[in-house]
Amino acid sequence: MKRLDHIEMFYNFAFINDEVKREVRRAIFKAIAIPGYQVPFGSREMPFARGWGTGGIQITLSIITPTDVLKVIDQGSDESVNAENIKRFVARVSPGIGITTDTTQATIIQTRHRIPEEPMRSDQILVLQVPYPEALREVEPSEVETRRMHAEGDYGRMWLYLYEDIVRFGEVRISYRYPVRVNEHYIMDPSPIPRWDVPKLNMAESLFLFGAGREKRIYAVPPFTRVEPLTFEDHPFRIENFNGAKCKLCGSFDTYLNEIIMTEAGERIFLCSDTSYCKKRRKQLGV
Amino acid sequence: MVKARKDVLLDPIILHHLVFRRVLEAISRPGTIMELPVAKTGEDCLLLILESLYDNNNTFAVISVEESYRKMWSENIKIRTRSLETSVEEADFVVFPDGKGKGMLSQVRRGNYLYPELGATVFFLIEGLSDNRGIPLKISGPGIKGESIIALNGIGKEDLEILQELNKEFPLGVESIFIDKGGRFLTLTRAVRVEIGA
Amino acid sequence: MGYVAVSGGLEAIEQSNILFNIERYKGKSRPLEVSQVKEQLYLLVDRVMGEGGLYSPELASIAIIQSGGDTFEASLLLRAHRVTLSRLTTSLPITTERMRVIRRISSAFQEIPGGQILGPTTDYTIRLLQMELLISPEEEWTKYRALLEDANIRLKNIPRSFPKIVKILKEEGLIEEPENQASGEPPFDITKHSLTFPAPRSAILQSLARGETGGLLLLAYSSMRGYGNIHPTLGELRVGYVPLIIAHPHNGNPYTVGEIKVTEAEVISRYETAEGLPRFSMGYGACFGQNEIKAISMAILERCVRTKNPKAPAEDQEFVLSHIDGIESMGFCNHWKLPHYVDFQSDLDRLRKAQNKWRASKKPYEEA
Repeated sequence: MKRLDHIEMFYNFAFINDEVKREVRRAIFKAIAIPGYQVPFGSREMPFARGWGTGGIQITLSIITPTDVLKVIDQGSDESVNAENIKRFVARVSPGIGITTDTTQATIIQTRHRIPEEPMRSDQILVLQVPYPEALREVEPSEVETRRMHAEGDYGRMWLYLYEDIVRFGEVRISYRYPVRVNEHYIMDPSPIPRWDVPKLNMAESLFLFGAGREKRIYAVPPFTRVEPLTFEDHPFRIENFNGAKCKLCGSFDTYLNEIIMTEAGERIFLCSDTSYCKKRRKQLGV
Repeated sequence: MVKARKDVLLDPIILHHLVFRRVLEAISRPGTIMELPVAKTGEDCLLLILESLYDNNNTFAVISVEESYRKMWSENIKIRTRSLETSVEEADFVVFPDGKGKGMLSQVRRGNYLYPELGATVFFLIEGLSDNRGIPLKISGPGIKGESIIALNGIGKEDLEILQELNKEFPLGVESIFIDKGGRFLTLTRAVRVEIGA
Repeated sequence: MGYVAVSGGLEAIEQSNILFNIERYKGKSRPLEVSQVKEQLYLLVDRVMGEGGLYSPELASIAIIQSGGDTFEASLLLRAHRVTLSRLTTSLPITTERMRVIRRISSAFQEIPGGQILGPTTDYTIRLLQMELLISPEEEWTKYRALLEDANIRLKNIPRSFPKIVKILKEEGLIEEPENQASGEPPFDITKHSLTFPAPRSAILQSLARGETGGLLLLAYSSMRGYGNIHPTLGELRVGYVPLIIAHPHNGNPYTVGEIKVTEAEVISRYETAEGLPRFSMGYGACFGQNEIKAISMAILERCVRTKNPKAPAEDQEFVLSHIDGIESMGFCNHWKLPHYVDFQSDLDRLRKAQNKWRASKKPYEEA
């Protein structure tokens, strides 16, 4: 492929210049040391539109090594257009790396809005793309003010917001992007993962890195760190309920499912959101 | 664990990727001993780590008992990273090549509540990690499964106590990287709880 | 019922890009040359260079062609290219007094020292479509080429430097000096650090200078129309060429490496009742190329975001600076086209639960 030669000839290993990588690395370093705290960084433009994972890409490009095996998913799928695009780009500018769709084979997984179903191991890093890094943005639009709230641990308005939901609707209305408390200190936005995935962040084996390109923030949850969804004792945290539905393809009823409307009459089926896991299960079952 | 091929180590950009990846592992798992693919000595290891993280956007200070040794380190760091030398209170990173705080350790930046990431990173070159002559530390917190015991040989108890003091008020604090003579290293983050002599 | 999940993203991307290019080339016209865009659509090129934050008419022209004329997309291409280039140095400060002016006007005074120079503009034309372009574009071209030589002679009479109107007023003590960077102190670099508020003036100016023209105009317009209170007068607007001077890496001597075209606007705002002597305050705007709407809007906003007690949206520094970048806003707007079904599934779960709760709490006849 002609295009490929061109890129390899004109750009560094992992594309971005060394100065930028070091800056991203310093931000990652401090982010891990201060779990759940959003470190500002001079996010650069990538050859993708802002909002399409540029924060995640900058992290991936700053940490990747030629012996890594990369998996990229979007909404759980390896084959979504955006996931393919990112994977193709990183592979092209980082000669030597491997590519996979199998969660267990990957050393770095870049993801948008999902954590894979198969448990992550200690030799794996999950890089999450983040549209809104600030969990308190729901209750306060100003960055100056939310920074002060974090500094002073002034989270009263957030708790009030959740409490009012319970009074009015019987449960918290936040569906995905459910706010969590990290290491009993900072309130953190876990990125728009479903509630289904939130417990996977708690006391995990693997490292989680969060990159918000447009908003220029990097934050992290190290392994073996307490991550607790904000809840009230009498209203425990509830993950999504599929009311006994199972995946049309592999039969799973213990995975996060996507609801697919099949006909105009509203007939619907359910499918695993994690496509690679679904494929693997079908292979095992021989269906 | 990432294993490096010989040829890629010739490319400094790729080498820095490999080095930073170990630093990333180390900072995610405080107390775990790491090695770099190419560093044979503590000096090599320290300079490679610095190169992968810092450049002319950063400032540093070196503290050593002997002025000529301090100068040598300061020149080395300038050449390898292009970072600018400054006072201990101002520096982004502070290097203690004798493993001794010399009364200066308490002066390093701890960041502030609005911007805790401004807390400095401190590097100690010491004799050995987890050998039977070191001061044992019981550590727990983010990155550590339950509790773990490490031992640092070549750093004084008073300096460990100063580190404890610096990290008393989370999120304020510093990150420490301890590198031994053989080029092995481990880190302690400000979030880690440390008991000395456990 | 058999079901096959949609896949094959890679192939779909390739096909959609092929279709986009077919769309551009399906007519009978010859492919656009980079030089044609650079020379004949120069205002578009100027705009893209400004928003892309990279002064290169040639690369900007490629970006415009490649993106089918979409200014957001073209600016993004330039910005993405920028990240692969090394930042060599910070240029030395220059004074625009010595600008090689091609256009310079003031609306604060009828006559100004050095005179009003209208220069190249369409401001005073009657906006009728030039139907001749359909029939004989060559004729137009020949006509203006013939005039070019004559114009060159007359341009020689333009003085080499013009006094600054604002400077004259400043010397009279009528205008306050805005807070400036201490000399020698390096400016904040928004390409390297993320903005924190309140932002230093150098960061405000940089953010506005890279801002999206339409976005700047919208916010400035809201202030002019009444959501704000700065009452601007255009002190001076000038367009021309300024030298790009850097310190020689070895001996530190100033060295001119080229020149760039810029537009500069200075607006004078009515005085605020503060302590001390009442004075006008001013707002400053400057951007790559000839982009007068941007420079004026920028000057107004630069003054707005320094308002002591902000009341209107355009006076809220965080609000303005967080929303005027075209690359960021277009990217985020476009990202809504990405799939969100995992999130929406979670939304559905919450809604269904809430509906069930509501139904359980009502008697059947109460439900609407």
